[in-house]
Amino acid sequence: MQEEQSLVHQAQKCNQEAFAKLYEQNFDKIYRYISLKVGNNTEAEDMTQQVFIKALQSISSYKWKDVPFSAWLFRIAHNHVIDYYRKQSRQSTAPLYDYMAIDNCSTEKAIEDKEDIEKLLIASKKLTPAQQEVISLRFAGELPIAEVARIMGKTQGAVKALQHSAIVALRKLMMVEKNV
Amino acid sequence: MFKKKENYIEKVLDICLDRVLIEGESIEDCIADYPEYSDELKSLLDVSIKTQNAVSSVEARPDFKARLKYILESEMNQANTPKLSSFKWKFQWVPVALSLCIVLLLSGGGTVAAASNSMPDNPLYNVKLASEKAQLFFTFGDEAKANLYSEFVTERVNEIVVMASANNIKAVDKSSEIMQNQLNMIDVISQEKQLATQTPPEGGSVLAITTVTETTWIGSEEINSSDKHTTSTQTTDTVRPAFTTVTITVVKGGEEYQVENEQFVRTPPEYVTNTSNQLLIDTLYNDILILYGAAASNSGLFLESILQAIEVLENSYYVALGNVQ
Repeated sequence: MQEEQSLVHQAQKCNQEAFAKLYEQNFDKIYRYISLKVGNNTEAEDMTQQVFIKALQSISSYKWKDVPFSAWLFRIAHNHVIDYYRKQSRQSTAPLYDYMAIDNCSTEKAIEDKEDIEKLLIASKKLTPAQQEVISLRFAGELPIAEVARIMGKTQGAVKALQHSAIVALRKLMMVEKNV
Repeated sequence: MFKKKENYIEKVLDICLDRVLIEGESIEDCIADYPEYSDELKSLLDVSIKTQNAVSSVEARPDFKARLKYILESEMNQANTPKLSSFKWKFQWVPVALSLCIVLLLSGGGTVAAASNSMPDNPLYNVKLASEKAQLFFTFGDEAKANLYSEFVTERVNEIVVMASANNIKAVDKSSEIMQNQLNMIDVISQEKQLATQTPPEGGSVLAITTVTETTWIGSEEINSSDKHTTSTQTTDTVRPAFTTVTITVVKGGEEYQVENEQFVRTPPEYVTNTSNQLLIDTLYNDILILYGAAASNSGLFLESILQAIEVLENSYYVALGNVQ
């Protein structure tokens, strides 16, 4: 955490290397979170780019509060996702898993991964928006429950309840998929 | 004590998620602490692990990740004010500096800064390349120059990634070609020690450049040699890969020395010390440097450019020597 604080401090002074490290540490998590939320690769890329550019532009005013830097990035990403759904009242047109091309050279694991993601995406679309948000922040963002609660503006108890109900729903939905 | 079973399992599930997914504990270890809910917990944690695995396999395209990093670095470059105070000015670089200032004034102050982020399909790209050449000119020492070339190669890679993602094949080719030349320059610098034995003695002036020969080699065989001034013989006693060399013969201290293109271009000030028109000579050497950087190392353009610059250089020698006399 201390190392991350130092990186943030250096990045605030326009240290390119420090910001690049923060980018490398957080890129995958932010991209996964957004991908799960929008379910479309092109949109996910656009939005990930917006999030990091916004972070770069605002990092000078960021105040360290002994929470992971990623929590701040997720708040930016969360706001972008909300804006995205406000502006576009449509669902994704190109599914995320379309880009996970399967060919003759793909390993068995790659095929299984693709199938798991397909199932997860289909199932997660049937969750409530709040349940989806908890799953995205907790599993894609790897955030602790306290940070998820802060980002969503809810109590930790409420988030734990949402998390539980989401996993129960996923279990049910994935079982149904399996039996179809 | 928890009042409701549901509340309890929500909390226990959260604890086990942290222990299993974040701390790497096994499901069995965690549920052993909560035997009354072991079946339900196991079932929920199994789903959670499947979800986590599925989420973890979502990955961005590597070229997108690299492109975004490049964009962010470019944004930071723009935010950072250029620091010119670190230059150690030398009197002999004044004409070059003046030229640079004129270019800056003519092109507008922010042009070079704006150009630093430009891609090969942008009109400002040539300004970016010129800026790189200026940086090379103000960088002294082989190691420092090699490091700078290495930075430029990295920049070319970024350009290629961005242009490839935009399907701009022409721009990709342009960056690739420049990158190849810059990699060649790094090779040239690494060969510097091997060529050092051919360096003319320090001090004194170059009186004339008598021959310029272009020789193309494949393996150990000389396949083509074209002498632009006088005939020169090349031997084929060493095994070399296919490449073209330009051998320049200079006269210094009453003796002739043959210098290969890279050495001539890279260490010119050694040959022109003690002239009264040093500033002019330095400027002309800069022209050669720029020509060298701009021309492809295996094309006729390279030789023609070098020849033109050398012709001007030779004339200036005579002018300079005439002034001395």
